[in-house]
Amino acid sequence: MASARVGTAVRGAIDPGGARPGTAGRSSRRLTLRRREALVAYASLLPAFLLVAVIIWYPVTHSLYYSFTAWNGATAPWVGWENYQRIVTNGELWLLLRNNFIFVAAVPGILLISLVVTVLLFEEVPGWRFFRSVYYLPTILSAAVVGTLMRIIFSAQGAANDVLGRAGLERLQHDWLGSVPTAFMVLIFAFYWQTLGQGVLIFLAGMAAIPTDLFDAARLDGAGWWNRLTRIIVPLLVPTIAYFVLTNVIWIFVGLFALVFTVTKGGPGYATTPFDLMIYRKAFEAGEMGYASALSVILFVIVLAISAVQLRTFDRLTTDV
Amino acid sequence: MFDAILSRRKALQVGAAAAGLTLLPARRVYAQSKTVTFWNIQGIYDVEDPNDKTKKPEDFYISQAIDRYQKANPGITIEMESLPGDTSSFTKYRTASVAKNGPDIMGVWSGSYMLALKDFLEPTRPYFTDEERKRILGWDAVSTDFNAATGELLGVPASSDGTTCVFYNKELLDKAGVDPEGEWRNSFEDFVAALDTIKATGTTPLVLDQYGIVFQVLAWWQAQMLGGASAVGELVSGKRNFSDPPLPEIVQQWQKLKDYTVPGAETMPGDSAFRQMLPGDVAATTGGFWVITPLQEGLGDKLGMVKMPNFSPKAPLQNGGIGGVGNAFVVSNYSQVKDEAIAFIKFLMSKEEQELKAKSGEGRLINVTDVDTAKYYSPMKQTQQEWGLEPSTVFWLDNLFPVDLTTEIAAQSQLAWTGQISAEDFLAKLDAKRNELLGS
Repeated sequence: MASARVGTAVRGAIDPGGARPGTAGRSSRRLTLRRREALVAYASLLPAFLLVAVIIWYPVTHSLYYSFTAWNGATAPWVGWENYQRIVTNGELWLLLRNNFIFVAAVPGILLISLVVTVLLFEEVPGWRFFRSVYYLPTILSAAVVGTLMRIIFSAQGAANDVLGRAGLERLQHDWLGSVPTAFMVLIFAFYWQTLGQGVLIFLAGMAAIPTDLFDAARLDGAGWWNRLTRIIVPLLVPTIAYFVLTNVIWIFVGLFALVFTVTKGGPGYATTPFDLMIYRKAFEAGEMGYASALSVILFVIVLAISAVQLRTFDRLTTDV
Repeated sequence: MFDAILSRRKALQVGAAAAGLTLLPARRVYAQSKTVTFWNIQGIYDVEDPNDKTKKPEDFYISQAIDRYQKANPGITIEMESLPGDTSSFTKYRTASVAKNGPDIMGVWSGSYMLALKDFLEPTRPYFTDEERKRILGWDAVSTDFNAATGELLGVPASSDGTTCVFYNKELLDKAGVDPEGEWRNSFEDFVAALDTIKATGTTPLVLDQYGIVFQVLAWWQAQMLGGASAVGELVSGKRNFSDPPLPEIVQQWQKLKDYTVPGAETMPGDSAFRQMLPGDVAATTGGFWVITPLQEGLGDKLGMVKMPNFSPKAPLQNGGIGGVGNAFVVSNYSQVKDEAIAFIKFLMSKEEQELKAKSGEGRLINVTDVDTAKYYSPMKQTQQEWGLEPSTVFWLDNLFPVDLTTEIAAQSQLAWTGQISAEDFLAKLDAKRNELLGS
């Protein structure tokens, strides 16, 4: 009986439609309460909503408007689609896309390295304690610091060539930042170095959620290190991998600026100039803010589309798992 | 007794009246005092000495000049902020000006760098009499069409950069048997022959940086072969193409210099190459007067200076270089203290202040006609002062080209210098960018 009373009480509390005869007053009070709660909820959301509207949507809509003008900071005459036409016809769009996609193509590499390092740390290989204490250091350095460091190391008169020279390997000395392939290599190396800590941290957190008896059982069944990585860890880490890939691909489109600006300044030529650096150059160096706004709008659409595709893909993968 | 008489209301009234009285004089002073903000970019006025870090701000000419001005003009405060001597400062000015919170005065590079900011600049012609203008050189460089007689003036010429030339290590040239005043300057072939001779002695002949390769060496050969700044202007207007002769041949020859220079010139930061001459194992570099002091401190009497090599003895312009009045003061058109800003600029450009500046040896070269700089400058610096005023000195091409075209030249020259694109591709890209800017 006691359990029946409890059951009724609970049902009454969670089912507003389940009011018994003679309880109309209490029902209307609950409705008022609900409405009040809704009001409180909306009122609580309002500041955040206003903040987002002012800080994000106002600039976004303004950028959209300015992308149809020749805004130079002082005047903004309407030019229609001219900025977009220029971006497509002067070859800039394809160059920037190529540069960004070269970095995107480097994401699987850092994903694999992060996974391997994570597993090594997880399995407590010799020296894991030391590595665990230092692996995150590059991540806390700002991109400008990492970039300056890379520039010092890889400039023609830098430490890398100096070391090669002292080691009697003069033939390997190279103008690392002056030629396109090696400039990309330096940038991707810097990107890997800075991202490794973030990747390992995320994957360690993901692995902590995997039951250890799964690994024990796999070991008992004779599964080797590679099999455990590919058959247990990777499938169970799909949501974590999805998060890592998604955030890094977005970062490549909107966050490379500081690194590239400090290492190569987008050169040689425009060979390593990503979208966000070109937006900065056009807006603030050339004063073509309308053109830069059009580039921003295109970048927004690209990131939106790529994120949507990735999310859908990973949703499907996660569901399958 | 007092407590008993004074009610709370009375006490408040007395307090408010006393506060009002104390505010009155302050308000009067506030009404009289005005602040003029001045953004100085490194180089126009020195605010640090790389060779003497113990120097305090008040040890530099500009701080002393500001102090003199403030004492002579009570109620006027000059607030100076120093920015890097590169294009990032113009970016900062543009960004601040969009929000209308930039400085009242800024020192900028004249020509197209300044003109790119024209929407934020106050026309200066109404503030200067003909007499005042006549004693200051370089007004063309601050006019909208590079012609002070017809164009709108948007700044005040601030100082001269002299002319770019070759600075060399006398010992290393002696060792190679190259006479600095000899025939090696006659043509590109003679120049390369001299570089070969220097290289054969185990010395690196040249060190150049990313600006030096393109805006000093290549720019001079282009300008001299075309016949000066007016012909260069035809490249901007589209009357002439970059791909037209003789520019492809000049670029092809220029690309050969890479084998004689310290590696990495195309990515070496601007104005940093000359420091690599200090250890004494590089024979020469190019630069303007600003390299004299640091190189003399490092090399002493071993430092020599000679004009840029000619590309061809048949070039219409011979024995010159790139340079001129490359700096200007501008006044923001949104400034609330335009008259005070102009008055301060006039003070800095006055004969007395220009003499004191020349005496201090700081900053760029003088660009007024009524100061005898020979009294203050070292012989080498005085030579720079004189060369900078010669007709064979062509105004900075990067200050003549639109900023977007200058950016394109700087970017593509990195690829051309290293041979990653051909001379023809390099020049075709410049034509394409110019045409895009012209909307054709």
